[in-house]
Parts: sequence; C-alpha cells; structure tokens
Amino acid sequence: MGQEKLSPIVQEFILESSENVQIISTRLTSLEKDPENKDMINELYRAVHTIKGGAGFLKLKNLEKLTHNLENVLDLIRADKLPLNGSFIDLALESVDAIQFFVNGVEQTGEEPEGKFDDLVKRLLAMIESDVTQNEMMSPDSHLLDTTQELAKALGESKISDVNIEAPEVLKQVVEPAPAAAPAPAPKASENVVPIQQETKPKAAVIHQGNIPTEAPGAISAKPEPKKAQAPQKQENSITDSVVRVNVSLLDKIMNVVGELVLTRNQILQFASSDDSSELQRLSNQLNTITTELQEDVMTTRMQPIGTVLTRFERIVRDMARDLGKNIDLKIEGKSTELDKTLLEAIKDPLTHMIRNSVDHGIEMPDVRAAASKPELGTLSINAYHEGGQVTIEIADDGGGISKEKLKEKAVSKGLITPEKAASLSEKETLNLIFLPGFSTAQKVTNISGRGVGMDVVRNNIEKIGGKIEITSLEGVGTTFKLKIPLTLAIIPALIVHSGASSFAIPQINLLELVRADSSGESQIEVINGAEFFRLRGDLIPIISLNRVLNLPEKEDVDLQSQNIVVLNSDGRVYGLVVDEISDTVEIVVKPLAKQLKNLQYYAGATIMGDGLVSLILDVNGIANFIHLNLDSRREEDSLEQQFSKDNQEMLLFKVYDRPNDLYTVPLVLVNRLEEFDKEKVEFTGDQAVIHYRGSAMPLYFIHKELGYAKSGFDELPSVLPVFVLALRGTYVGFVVESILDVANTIEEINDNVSDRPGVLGTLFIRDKTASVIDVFKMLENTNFGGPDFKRTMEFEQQQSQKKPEEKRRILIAEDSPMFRKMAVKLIQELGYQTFEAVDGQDAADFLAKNPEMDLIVSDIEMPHMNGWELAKHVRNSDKIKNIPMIALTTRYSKDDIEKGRQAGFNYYLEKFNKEDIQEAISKVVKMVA
Amino acid sequence: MESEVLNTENVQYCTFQIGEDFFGVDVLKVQEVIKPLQLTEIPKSDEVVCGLMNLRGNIVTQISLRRLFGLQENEDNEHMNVIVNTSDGLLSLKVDQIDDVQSLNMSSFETTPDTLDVKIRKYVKGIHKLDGRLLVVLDLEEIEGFAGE
Repeated sequence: MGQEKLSPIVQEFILESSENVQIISTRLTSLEKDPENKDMINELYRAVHTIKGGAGFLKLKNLEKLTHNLENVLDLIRADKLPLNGSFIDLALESVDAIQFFVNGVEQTGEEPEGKFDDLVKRLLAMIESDVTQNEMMSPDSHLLDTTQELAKALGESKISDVNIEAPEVLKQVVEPAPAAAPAPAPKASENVVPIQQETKPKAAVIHQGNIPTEAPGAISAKPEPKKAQAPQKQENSITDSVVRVNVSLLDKIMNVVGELVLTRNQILQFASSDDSSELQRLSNQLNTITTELQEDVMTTRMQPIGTVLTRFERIVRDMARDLGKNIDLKIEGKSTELDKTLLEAIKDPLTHMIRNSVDHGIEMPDVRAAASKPELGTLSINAYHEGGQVTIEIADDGGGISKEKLKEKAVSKGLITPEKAASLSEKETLNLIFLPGFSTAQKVTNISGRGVGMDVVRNNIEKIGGKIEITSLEGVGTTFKLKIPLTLAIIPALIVHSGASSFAIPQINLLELVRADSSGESQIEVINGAEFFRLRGDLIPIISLNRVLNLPEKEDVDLQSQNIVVLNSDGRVYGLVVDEISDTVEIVVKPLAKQLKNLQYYAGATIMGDGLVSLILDVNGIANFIHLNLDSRREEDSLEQQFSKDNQEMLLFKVYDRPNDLYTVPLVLVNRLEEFDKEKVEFTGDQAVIHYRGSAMPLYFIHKELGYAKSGFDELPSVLPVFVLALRGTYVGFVVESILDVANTIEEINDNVSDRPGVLGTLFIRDKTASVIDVFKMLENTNFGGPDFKRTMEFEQQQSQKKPEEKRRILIAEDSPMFRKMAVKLIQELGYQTFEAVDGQDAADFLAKNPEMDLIVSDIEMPHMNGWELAKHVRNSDKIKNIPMIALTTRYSKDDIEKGRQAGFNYYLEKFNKEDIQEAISKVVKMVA
Repeated sequence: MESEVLNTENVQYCTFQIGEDFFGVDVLKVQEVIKPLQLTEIPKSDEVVCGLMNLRGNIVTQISLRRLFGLQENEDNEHMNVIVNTSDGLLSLKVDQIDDVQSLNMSSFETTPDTLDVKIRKYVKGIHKLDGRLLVVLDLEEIEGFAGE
C-alpha cells in the first residue's frame, strides 16, 4: 500500500509509533538488567502514553485500549505499587508485538487491523487488579480503581481473572517474526528475573531485525523508484524507509561544522580585505558566496513552520470537544513561524499536553459557561510569533481559569507543600504549583488528559531546550500559557557594539534603531530622579549605559548629550542602550555559555568574531530587567490582574510649592520635555511669566498658583525652577513645579469624584498614595492662553453643548487606555457631541456592526486585538459604515505613520491631546458630514 | 612515582602546581594542556572566572584555581591552562605550572584530611601521600559546579 494514500497525520503516527515501539522494546530489555532505573520506566511510560494518545485520536480503539492498560500497569510500577518482574516484562513485550501489529496494519491498509487482543488486555487488567486488590485499603488512589473498573465494564467482563487463551493464535499469525511471542499466561509475581532474561532477549532482537527498519544515524537510503516500489520487497515500500530521517544529532553536527565554516569565512574575509592580492579577493568572495548558500541550505533543512505541529491540534481539539460535549473554537495564528526542527520536536509533546489540558480542564461545559453568562462556544487560541529573539507560543483559553484555593488545597493534601507554606504563596507561586511533580489538576483522571505526565513533564521538556513556561490565570476569565523558546545553535545577524574595551553582539531581532543623542537638536537626554530618558518621536524611553550595567570603565571626557544609543525591544518594552561605539552587523553563531556563567542575566551566549576573539552576546531582556529594577522595582511584583490588563499608564509624579505633603501627577505622554530654568531668566509681560525657550517666548504657569495656593510668590521660589514642557499647537507651554519625582506605572482609573478644585481632573491611586491628576488643559482655559482662536473654540464649544441631545452628533471613540478614553470623551463632550466608547478596535467593530449610524469615529492606533489601522480598513471595507469619517488620535506621529493612516482610511491623523487640533478637526469633519 | 603492583588499581594523574602545592586531576578527563590564549573578560562574572577563549572554534571558559582556592592571583609569573572535559563541555583551569603525568596506586590514596584549608577542601577528592610531599587530587565535578552555590 503506497503511503500517498495515507493522510499525513497517519504517516506521522506510523513513524512516531515505530520509533516508540523501538524505544519500548529496548527499554524493556534494559530494565530487566536494571529494574530500579526510574528514568527508564518513565521513558517507557511516556512512549506508551504517546502511542495511546495517537491511537486515541486516530480512533484506533483496540490499540488505544491495549496501550491504555499497558500504561496503567506502568503507572503502578512507577508508583512502586507493582513489582517490575519477569511476568511484567513478558506481558509488556507481548504488548509491544501487538502494538507493532497494529501499526503495521495501519500502514498497510490505513485502518485498524482486525485482532482485538482481548486476552492480552485481560491479563493487563489482571495485573492492575492484582495491585488494586492488594492495595485498596492503603491506597486512596481511587482514580485508578475507577478507571480499571470502568474499563472492565466496557469490556463486558465481570471476572477479570478469567483468562482467555484464544489469543496466541492471532498473535502467531500477525507477529510472525516473533515466534516466541505466544506465551502462556505468565505466573503472577514471579520475582525470578534471570531465566526470563534469556527468553526475552532473542525476542527483542527479532523485533529489531524483522519489524522495524533500522534507523542508524547517517544511514541514508535513496528514495525508491516508483517502479521499484511495486516490487514485492515490502520493506522498501514502507513509509519508514522512503522518508529519509536523519538523526538530529547529525544535523546538529553539520550545523556546528557550518558554524565553524562561517566563522572561518569571516576571518578570511577580514584577512583578504587587508590584502592586495586580487586572486585572494576573488577566491574569498567565492568562498563567501558558497558558504552563505550552504549555510542557508543547512538552516532550511532544520527549519520547519510551526504549523506542522499546530495543525494537528485542530483534529485533536475537535474530537476531544465532541467526546466531552463541549463547544470549542480553536484559533491558530502564526502557523508560518519557523522553528528549528529540534525545538519543534521538543515542544510537540508538551504542547499536546497543554492543549489537551485546556480542552479538558480549561474550557467549561456549555451549561456552565451559559450560567456564567459567557458564550457557549469556548475559545482556545494558539498564537506563535517571534519576539525578542525568541519564539513565543501562547495557548490561551477563555475557560474557568484556575482556582488558586483549590490548587493550594490539593498541593497540601498531596503533601507537596505544608499548609503554612501554602498560606504564604503569592499568586504566581500558587499557579506554579501545577508544575510540581505528582501534581495533576484533573479532578477526575480521564483517558483524555492523561495522568501525572502533566505539567511537570511539560515544564521539564521546555526547560531542557532552554525555554521558559509561564502561566497566568484569572478565575472565571481564562488561563494563558506562554512558552518561550530561545534561539539556539542558530546563526543570527547581530550588531556589534563596543563599550569599555570589549565588543558585544546584540541580536538584530531585538534592534529597533540606532540614534545619536545630540545636545543641540531635538534629541536630548533628560534626567528624571536619577534615571535617564530619551525622547524618541514623542515617546520617552528609558536609557541606560552599557558601561554602567556591566561596571565597565566609563569613557573619558564623554559628553552626556552626545552619545550612541541603540534602541532595543525587549518583550515589547523599548529602551535605549548607550554604548561607546557602534560597529558593523555580522552573522554570528550563538554558543551557549558554560553553566558557571548561566546566572549572569546580561548575556545570551557568546560567539567567535572575525578576529578570532570571543565576544559576548547581550541578553536584551536581562539588561531590561536591570533598568527595570532601577526605574521601578515594583513592576516585578505586578499582580496577575495587572499583567492581564493592557491599560498601563505612565504617569509623571511631581510636587508643587505650598503643598509639601501632596503628590501631583500628569500622564507622561502629554509631557514633551523636562527642563530646569534659572529663575533669573524668567521675564514678565504683564502678569504672565515667560522664558526664552527654543527661539521663542514660552509662557510659564506656576501650578501651585493655578491651583489657588498662592503663599509662595515668585520671589520666594528657589533659583532653579523645575519645569515640564508641553507642546500645544506648535508652541511650548511650561509648568513650574517644586520638584519632579519619578515616572510610575499605574492601571488605576482616575477617580473624578474628588475633583475638589479647578485644574484637578481627579485622583489616582499610585504607589500606595493618592496623587491629584492635574488637568493641564483646564488650567490653560482658565488663563488667557491661546489667544482669540482659542476663545473662538470655546465659544463654539458652548454653542454645541447648548444643543439638545437628539440633535447631537454621535461619535464613537475607540481607545484602549481608560484614562485617555475618559479624556477624549470629555473633550468631545465639551464640543457638545454624544459619545460612545469602545475599548479596542475589535470592540469598536462589534459596536459598529450593531450601531452603524455613527457620525464620526475617533480611534487610537495602538490597541490590542485590532489596532487603529485594522479598524480603519475594516470600516472602509464594510458596506454600511464605509462612509463614516475617521480621525486617528495617536502618539505615533511620524510621516510614515500619517501616510499609513491615510492609506488605511483615516481622514485626519492627529497627535494625541493636541486639544485644539482635535476639536477643530472634529468640528470640521462633522460639519462636512452635515 | 611508578608503582609495580599490578593487582591494585592504578590511576594516572595530570599533575600541576599552584604556589608550593601539588595537585592532580584524572588524566582521562584532561583533553590537553595549552599555553595562555587571548581571553575575553566577562564583566560582572565571578572573580574566579578569568574569561572566555577560542580554542579552535570552541568557546571555553577559563577559571583560576588560585582564585577558587582563595589565593592571590600570581600576575607576574607565566601560567598554563589545563583543558578538562566536563559534563557541560570544556573548562580551562588556570594553574601556575604543569608537571608530569603520574601513575599512582590507589593504595597510597587517602581521604581528604580535616586539616586541609576549608576553602580548598570541598574541591578535593583525597590525597596521595608521596615521598616527602602530597598530591592533592581535585574533584572536577565540584570545581565545575562552583557557580551553583
């Protein structure tokens, strides 16, 4: 039977099971010699478990039944409840032959072959029973008992010890190469291992020779010709032969050698460039081309889209959901994300376990979901993407989440932790309990999610390949697993930088851009409370000197304002790394660091440079953590709720004169620049303080005065005035404060019930204190800022707000940050329009589907689920709503962004909270529509 | 010291000196002995770690046994590197001076005496008493895992 008729899944199953059969038989024979080897028992167990899983999902009922029971026996042996003796080995080897029979049958016909092996199953059950009866009193492990009894029932057998001896005939027929495979039911509990050893050994040998094609690494056989394939030699025709399976360790070796070649090439190129010989130049160029090609080819042999693994889950999830009576929608994204073969293989099993767990325990039954007013259709999403030099795979369900209390209870009842310890666990630590060996979250052990192979194995496997697994869960909302798979043994492009006397490599994948801070121009380094920041197109990004991170000698006579900044992305956090010198981009081979250095979080590995010297590869995430600690050590302790929330706000904290005990704050995104001015340079035109700033006179407002605290007059103020500068309508406005404290993150919403005085928008709970949020716009309204134009806008606003509600224009605001949403709502309501709010693009799209009669959509760009550009495209492509004007409000205000916005379908593209522009644009657009 | 007793086990040691003391490691664990190569320092690493070297395309971490044993680094003198195979790859041990490979009989082997400096003791498997001097046999697994503490 040609393999082309078999589906890829079945082919995969055959290959995998053949391998596992081999593992099982070799392990079994080794176990006879070394029965105490727990690792081997575990390996055996997993191999059987994998076959069972495959059989279950291909609906090979009899094979599943057989392996399920074999697994049960192994489970008991693993738990020392059954002895590992000769009768077990016999039975197990017999099972191996049966499994091989099934696998061969499937390969030949594509279907499960006849042959039930009921006798074998019964003897396995008897073996399980022998334990259960012995240990029923002492072992409260009722799961197994249940399973066994259920299965016994399923088999329609009441007397389990009733042994049926029909089977050997079947066995003889199907497993011909193993004539010894038809055993009499082995006497139970025979501890006598030695004689059996002799008997089983040849059997195993037969299996090796006869049933399983040898797969020695490097044994590469040519693909059989189609004609030849019809020849009677069935071995040549089988899947296991026609696919060249190269041992991964050989690929690794080739990869390493190519890596060396790349390094040598780099050295030769460097040497050749300093030599005049044109022949050498030519040859080295040729070498360069060939090496690059070879390198790419070798890389591709190892790379596979993750989709090959992920698509398997579609079937698994569908079938499981049906079996369980659940409605589950599986969403897979990032199928084309490529991953090294080794890694892909390594994550396959862990992923399967996690998916199965999510389906089985994560997503609730439809009635439970309905009762919790969730949609009956549960969603399981798998998302794979490259991030920070790693491949991240997220598995998220919108199920019931994990009950932390239950986790603790269970861990305590299983004796994994003490009650005292349980009480002291943080949320995160509690969730991590599921990774403890011997912990399984299943209330009931089912055939589906397995038992105990669970999360500890998952984590071990992920960590073995240097990956990480994180879990977040909110009760009632869902659970998300995040797998981070590192880049290993790959050749990657990297930027070489110099700091101190050393050179370092930074993976290109983390690199956003290179900028040079410049004291004269727009790009300047600012210092807030000892931490340095750099303004990059409106965003204030933290910067840190590499010399400082690594305690390298600081460069002498360095001009603070004229430095090379490498802007890096670490898991979405952007920061700048100041280095002494920026050099070239080169391809490097990532080599892991020895374990003595593993605890240094700053390095991701090392590489050999063109000059033959070793350079360290910087770990962008590790360095980010370093700044993190300096900047805001509290972020480390973010609660889960906070991690779930995407509404993080950065707030600038400061104090004002006359209010020594109060904390004030404004959103950092409004602030354009932080300055300190000499008091002497402040001039007055009338009552208005101004200072010469960037070529024009900038008005200065004293926040304490604007708030009505007037004790400290200008004369009493110190000689240096800290100021934060806003850019409004192309001019700068300065606000004088007593001191600028820090930048802090918060997800809290502004509480505007306590807006006790004009100029205060409300209060915000931040850093365990209450800070008053300054409404800078209100403050400016109260002054004569803005001149006649501004006044006109004010009048227009008043006209608008006098209109009756039914005449009001309807404006949809899509903005993920609650604070900005609130501010935008306020701003638009001031114009007299009716506002509707959406928390992201998706929400807005959903809203529009039901309420297409909007007059205007005002949207943020950066939003989760669906960003502003996607929303604009969606709107322009939807018939009912395609004519609704759209305005983008954003901090992304580069030329490219504006162009991108225009193309997506935005009519206006405005900088966030340039209030006048926004109101003007809205009025204009609305009039246009009218 | 050559031993002529064939019935008891003989072990070959690669021996070297640090200061006035003689040390040995199982010769089967030693890949080679090399002169110093250019090192890349690792900022913020433990002071025991000297740096990384390129040994024919392999990146090898070098540690200073002097530092590990709590001694001052001997900057003036030349030193040698003993490259040993560990479970984690190659490791280079910086020593003062290389001696011979010696085949010693286990009958002269003794467990680590309590009098040995505490800083050194945990890296030591035992000692061989030789004519007029002691050969301290190092425990490579402990040395390799020093960072774990």
